Amino acid sequence: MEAPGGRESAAPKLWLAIQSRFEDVALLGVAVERVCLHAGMPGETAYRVHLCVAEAANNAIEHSHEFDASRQVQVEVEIARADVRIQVIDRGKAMASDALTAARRRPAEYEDVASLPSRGMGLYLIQSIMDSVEYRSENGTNRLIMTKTIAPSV
Amino acid sequence: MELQSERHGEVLVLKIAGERLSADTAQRFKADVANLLEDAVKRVVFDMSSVKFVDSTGVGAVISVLKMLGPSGQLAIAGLSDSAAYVFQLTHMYKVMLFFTTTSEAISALADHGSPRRP
Repeated sequence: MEAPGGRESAAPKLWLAIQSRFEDVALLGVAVERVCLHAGMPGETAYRVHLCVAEAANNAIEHSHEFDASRQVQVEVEIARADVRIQVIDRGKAMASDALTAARRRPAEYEDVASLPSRGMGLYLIQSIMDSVEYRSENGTNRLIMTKTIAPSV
Repeated sequence: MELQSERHGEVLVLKIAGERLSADTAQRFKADVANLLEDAVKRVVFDMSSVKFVDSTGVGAVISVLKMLGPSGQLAIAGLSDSAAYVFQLTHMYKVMLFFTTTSEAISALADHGSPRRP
């Protein structure tokens, strides 16, 4: 597999790829969680990074690749001194330009069952958990770029 | 993922026998619960002591079950690990569902309309 990241760096990097199938997403999440633990991240934080990777991959499979299993979802993990930088990469339909901003505006509380959303919470979770989240779409390649500090939060 | 059901008076307990309630298992979970729900059942406890990972699609599936129960329905989750409970906490589900450490506590609370524990 061609290294998809493109950013020259001395920091160690790992590349992973799955077919666009929900049942394969756990492989990505579990692998990234173990890498985060190896880098020194606390267990609870590494679990939450696993959750974010799964959410991003699920979005790529459903909304970008539209369940076309022949397309790959790729993940690049870069372990820097202070943080882990993760790119979830697809080559399908790009997200709307305001999708990240819109997902931040989720209501803080739900007062009744009728108002509960049963879908569309993934980006909200990712932005709640990760330290930074950025989305780039260039030349048919879409990247959700997430970083998380390795050290325990105070 | 499999569901094991047990009736305790008016409370239906559904034990989730699987480690992940996520995008890959949520559709089957919803279909299986729908098959097990009877019209008269309005109080459901999910025993999630075997579940290690829940994503937003998993939370959405639980919300779908809550909606199946109707306006008078009550839903409790028991035995969820702190890690797996975090996604329910982030999505503020403690406002509309009850959370308990053990299944027996959840059954008692639903039978008595007890107060919830926040995840």
